Amino acid sequence: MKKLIRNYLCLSIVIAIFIVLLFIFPQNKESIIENSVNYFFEMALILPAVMILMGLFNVWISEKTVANYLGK
Amino acid sequence: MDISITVIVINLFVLLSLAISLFKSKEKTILSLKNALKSLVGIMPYVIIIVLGIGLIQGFLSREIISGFLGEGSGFSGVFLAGLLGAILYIPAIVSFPLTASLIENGASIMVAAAFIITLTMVGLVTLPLEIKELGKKFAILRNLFSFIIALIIAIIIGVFLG
Repeated sequence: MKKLIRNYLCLSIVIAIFIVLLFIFPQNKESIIENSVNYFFEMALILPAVMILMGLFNVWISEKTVANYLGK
Repeated sequence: MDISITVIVINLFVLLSLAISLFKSKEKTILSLKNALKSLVGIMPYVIIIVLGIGLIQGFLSREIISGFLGEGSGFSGVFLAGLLGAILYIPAIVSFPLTASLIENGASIMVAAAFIITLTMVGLVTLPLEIKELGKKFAILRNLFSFIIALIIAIIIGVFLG
């Protein structure tokens, strides 16, 4: 939980830096935002699916099965 | 924005798995969805930081600047510089091929171009925090380090054959 708060604190600092940079370099603003949005959608389309798959994997497949097929 | 086939296949596969899981046990499915949500919340700050970082890098370094830097480099230092740039930058493969083609047009050697593409795909410094979080510090650093060294070796081999 502590780690989670720390990570979100880091995130807000990065967002602040991002916004400041956008104000300092308005000529790059458009392409920066466009690239970020594009990449965000790319992640948003695939990340939830991967997380659900990992969740299902953890619940249904025991550690022993994994070790049998992929372990040493 | 186009939706790639990979995205469709993965999402369909997950929906199918979810349906089968729901059919077999409702409790286990809910538990796995809860786990999924928890890891999504945990991973979100990393994802957004990476997204913003990539936006900044691609916004500030235009194609011309990138190819200008790499075109001047020659010999091993050029290969090393290209490899380092490829390791730091995050550019999807689909963008990197035309970019690398323009590098070659602008006078970059085959070796430099190869080093750039190979480290771009094999080494990810921007995504390193995420890799450390998911796979551990030791694994992530060793994998990236050896990938970088071997990428340069492959680049030199390709340069010797095609240069």
